[in-house]
Amino acid sequence: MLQGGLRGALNQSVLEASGPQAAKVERLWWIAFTTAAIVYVLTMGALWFAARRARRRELRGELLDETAAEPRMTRAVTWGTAATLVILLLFLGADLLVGRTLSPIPKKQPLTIEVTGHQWWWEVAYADTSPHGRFTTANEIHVPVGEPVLLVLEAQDVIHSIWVPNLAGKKDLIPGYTQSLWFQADTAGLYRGQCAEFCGLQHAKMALQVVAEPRTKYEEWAAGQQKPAQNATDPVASRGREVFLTGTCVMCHAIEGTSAGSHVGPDLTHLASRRTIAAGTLPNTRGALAGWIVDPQRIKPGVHMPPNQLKPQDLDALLTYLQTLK
Amino acid sequence: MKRTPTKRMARSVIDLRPLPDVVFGSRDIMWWGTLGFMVIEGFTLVLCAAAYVYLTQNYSTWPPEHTPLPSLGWPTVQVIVMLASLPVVWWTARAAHRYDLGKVRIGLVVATLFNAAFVGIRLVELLVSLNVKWDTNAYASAQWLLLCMHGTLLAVELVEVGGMMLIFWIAPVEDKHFSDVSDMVMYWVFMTLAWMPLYLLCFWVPRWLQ
Amino acid sequence: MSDHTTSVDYVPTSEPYDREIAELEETYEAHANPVWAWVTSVDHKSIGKRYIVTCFVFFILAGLNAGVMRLQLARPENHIVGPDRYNQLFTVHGTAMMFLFAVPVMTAFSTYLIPLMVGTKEVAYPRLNAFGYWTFLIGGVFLFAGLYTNTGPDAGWFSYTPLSGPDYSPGKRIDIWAQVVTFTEIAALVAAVEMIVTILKMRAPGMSLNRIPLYVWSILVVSFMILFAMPSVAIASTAMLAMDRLVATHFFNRAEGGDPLLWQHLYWFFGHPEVYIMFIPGLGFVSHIVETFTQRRVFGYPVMVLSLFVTGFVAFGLWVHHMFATPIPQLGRTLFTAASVLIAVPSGIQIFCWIATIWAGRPRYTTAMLFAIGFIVVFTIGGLTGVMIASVPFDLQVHDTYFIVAHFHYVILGGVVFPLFGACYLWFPKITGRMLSETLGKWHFWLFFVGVNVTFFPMHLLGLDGMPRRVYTYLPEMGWGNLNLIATLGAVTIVASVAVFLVNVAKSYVAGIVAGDDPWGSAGLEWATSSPPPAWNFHPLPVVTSRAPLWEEGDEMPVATGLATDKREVLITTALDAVPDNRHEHPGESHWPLVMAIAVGVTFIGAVWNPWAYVVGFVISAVAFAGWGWPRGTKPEHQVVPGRIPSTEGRR
Repeated sequence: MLQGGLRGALNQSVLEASGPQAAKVERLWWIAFTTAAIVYVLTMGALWFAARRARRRELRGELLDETAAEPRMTRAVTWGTAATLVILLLFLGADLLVGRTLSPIPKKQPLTIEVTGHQWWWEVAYADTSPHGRFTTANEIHVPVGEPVLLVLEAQDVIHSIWVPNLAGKKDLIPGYTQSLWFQADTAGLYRGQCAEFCGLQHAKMALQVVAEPRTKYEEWAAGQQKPAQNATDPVASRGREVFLTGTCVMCHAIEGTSAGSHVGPDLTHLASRRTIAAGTLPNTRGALAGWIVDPQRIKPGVHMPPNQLKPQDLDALLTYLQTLK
Repeated sequence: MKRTPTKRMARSVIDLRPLPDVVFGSRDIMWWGTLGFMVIEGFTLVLCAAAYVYLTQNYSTWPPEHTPLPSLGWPTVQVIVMLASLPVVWWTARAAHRYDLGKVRIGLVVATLFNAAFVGIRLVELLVSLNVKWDTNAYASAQWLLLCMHGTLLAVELVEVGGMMLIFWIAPVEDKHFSDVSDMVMYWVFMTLAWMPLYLLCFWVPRWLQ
Repeated sequence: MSDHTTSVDYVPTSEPYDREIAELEETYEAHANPVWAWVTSVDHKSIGKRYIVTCFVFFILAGLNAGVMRLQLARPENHIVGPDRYNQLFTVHGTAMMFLFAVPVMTAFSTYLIPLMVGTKEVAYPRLNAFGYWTFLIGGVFLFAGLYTNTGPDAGWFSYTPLSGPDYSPGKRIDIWAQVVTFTEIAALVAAVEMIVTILKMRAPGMSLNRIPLYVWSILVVSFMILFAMPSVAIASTAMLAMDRLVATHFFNRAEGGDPLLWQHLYWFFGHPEVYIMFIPGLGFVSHIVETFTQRRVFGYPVMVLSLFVTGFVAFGLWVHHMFATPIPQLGRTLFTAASVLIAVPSGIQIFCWIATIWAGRPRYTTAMLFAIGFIVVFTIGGLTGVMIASVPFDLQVHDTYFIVAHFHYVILGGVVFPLFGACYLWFPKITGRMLSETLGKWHFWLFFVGVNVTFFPMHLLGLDGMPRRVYTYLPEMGWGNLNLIATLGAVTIVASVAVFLVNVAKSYVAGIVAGDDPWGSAGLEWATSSPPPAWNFHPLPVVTSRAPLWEEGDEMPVATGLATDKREVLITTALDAVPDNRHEHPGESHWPLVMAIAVGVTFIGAVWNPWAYVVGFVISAVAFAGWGWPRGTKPEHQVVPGRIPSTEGRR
């Protein structure tokens, strides 16, 4: 289920909740929808009834009685208004109840993940306080199933908004502000999210994935991510490593354990462990990666990564190297 | 198409001939127009002041550290000159109500001079008294915003008062112009009094929040 | 009124009456050269007509933008337009629909209709009115000129900072946006003052507050809202955003103590009332349509008026519900949720009152009436989803998704465009003297009704299925393709319906059935004059004794006589009871409003490139101002010379 990159991406629905946050909102939605549907049907029924009345009377040969109608109209409008008011107040109550239960995070020291919005990708940092504990990845958030997780949200450039509908409502990432958002995934799975605040040219292709897995698997993953990048052993890979380190890649990207340390673009230390590239735009396959490296502007026009004219064997070596970064 | 009025209208119940055709104050539609623009401009100033107060929250001190306080000298002169102008424009309005051409002419000359002084002092306030340029930080931008927004109103008022003064000296003056003078005075009072809280906000609040 | 009340027979065919009409024709005679006559006209009907036509042109252009967007989104990973073009398209679509169509088209109709409805000869300030139109025209042309030269604004109609700031939107695109907003704000503010004074001070004798037609009330409420809403966006865009970009102020720059959220507060303090500014006049239209085509006064007049005021007032307490995903205190959110939920009550009451009116009346299902019923059917959906998204938890799910796109198109198309089309069918005969075709009208209505629902209903589902707004494409794996395709088909239907409407207007304008004064048997004063009305609207002035004057008075309508016919004299009445108070002479044709608008144009368009344009523009404006107000000395009998003090009472 967790394999195949984009297969699980279909899962971006408000109405398929997989966590307590989204579940409560889903329930609220169904209450609101049912009420609204009833109100709508009643209103339209009244309109239909009113619109056909003159015709009915005509058929029956009755005359319209103007004066007798007034009190009935007053009564009807008054009852309609009173019913509206009651329904609205009930809805307001339901809303406040849901809002109250959703606000506080139900745990003292939850797993805390710092998410920073960039044009047009997500930087994800696990703020483990132990030595070598902190690590950075991009566009993929791994969380243990059944535990509340706290996201600490910041923005690097413009306003973004993080939204994983199956898990929780959205929250804006605003430059100069720190916000937080908590959620919990109740079932293991892959949940897609997407930037919800218009942030420029590639707002459409700024997605992320939340990978919810059992605690043990999560810890395994985290331990892997904490390690620096593997040393390239085979000759093609080490040639690729050289291409990376001597080329323009290092201007923006970091790979822990090498001299590449720039944090303008996504950290690539464990690139090969991710399911997608280019912020959820492409599956992380060798072919897609090659296309992306050579001409990112074709895939995400306006993206801040420049095209790279590499000799075929250099590109091949680079791909081989990048694919070793598990 | 022949434009004929409908035949419905047949019974005359009101003769409008005895009504006056020059009136003062709220009976005159020009007064209402002036009031409308006073509401718009007044609320614009309120919103600017609200934005100013909103921005103060972003700093622990106002002005921020290493930003000098505004000076008080010229701004205070401005306030005194503004208040001193009020008796003059009231006197002019009274003369206008009596259609006293000679007094209105004198009043408008003095008012124009006052208004020119407001604009001149405003430039000095901006360039000398604020002690910061608009692009220094958000504090400086907010200060310039308030002074310039109100300053623009002063400049527009100068065109209006100066134009009115010229009409009264060199153009064929009509009755309705006297009513216009009295509306102009209403606007003058608004513009002058509107500055008083803004003066406190721009030049005293930074001293209290320092 | 009692002072001057007489009761003499006033015979419209008598010789003195003919003489008065001849004199009026001379007084209101336009310039011989038709182009110059058009340029210098200050007649509210001439301005109103060109305003309406201009707004519809912008409506069509902005609609075509939407058409291209729908084609792009019809399939996943489509390549009809790229992200850069797409962002310009949706930004200009939203900006034009809001600033160049939905609000100004209401101004346009009120410019034409209000003086007729309140029974006066002109708007309060005819030259200012012309100036407002020219300013609006310059702004609108500037926006589309930007789009068609690939410098269209591209940060959304809301232009959130810092995306719209100097760092992330270099170039001139956003500057164009900021100044276009300024132009339209000036036009809207000018029109608001115009309408308030016309309604409060120029009503026909006897039209006390309790006899004001409902559309006139709606325009009064909206005009007051404009006074308080528009300055907010004007300072945010012109005085802050444009300055941040032009001279490096720091209003929204977090690094120097500014605040991007300040923009959102100022913007939505305007932006939310804006929604109500758009559709409250639509509610007014619906009242008149329902009244005319049920031949029954709208039920619950006092409640209807009160509802308009409550809506207008509460509309200023909702702006934060656009900002639920930003750091806003919990208490604030609760208050704004409550206000957002409860504002549904006055709208609900009005819908109930219309239904009651239809129930008690004898409805005739003309095209206008169908649009009024279509309004109730469509708008109610938008209102119900509006209540849902007042809830913070639910809003946080669907905020900035296609659910919201669906919601506000139901509100705006339902609340603005349906009533507007209905109004076109109702008042076209008054404006042109000819009827619109009912056959084409039915086609227009049904295509539009189906098109709107097919386009926008699926968007609710897309939003719930996770599709965000303002995306130029989406991945095939998302499964949004089919619903988007349906929406695009709906958009094609809408295009077809608008085409039918245009054909109808063109055909009927040339060869429609001649309407006569009052083709529908309506109640309001605008039907008491000819179609189209003469330049002076009414002579003599009607006197009002009830809320439905044409229904109550029959053929013996009381009138007020004695306004001068050798000059453009209008009657000023008292604000509450509309008692005749004084006569006011209006200015005639002038080219100065256009000169002034050009000066304003030079100022703000020039300021896109150079801040000194403000200084230059100020000087030109001062000259135009002098030309506008300078007395020409054409009234020696009014001239005041030293020593002569005129009397104020009763002078002719």
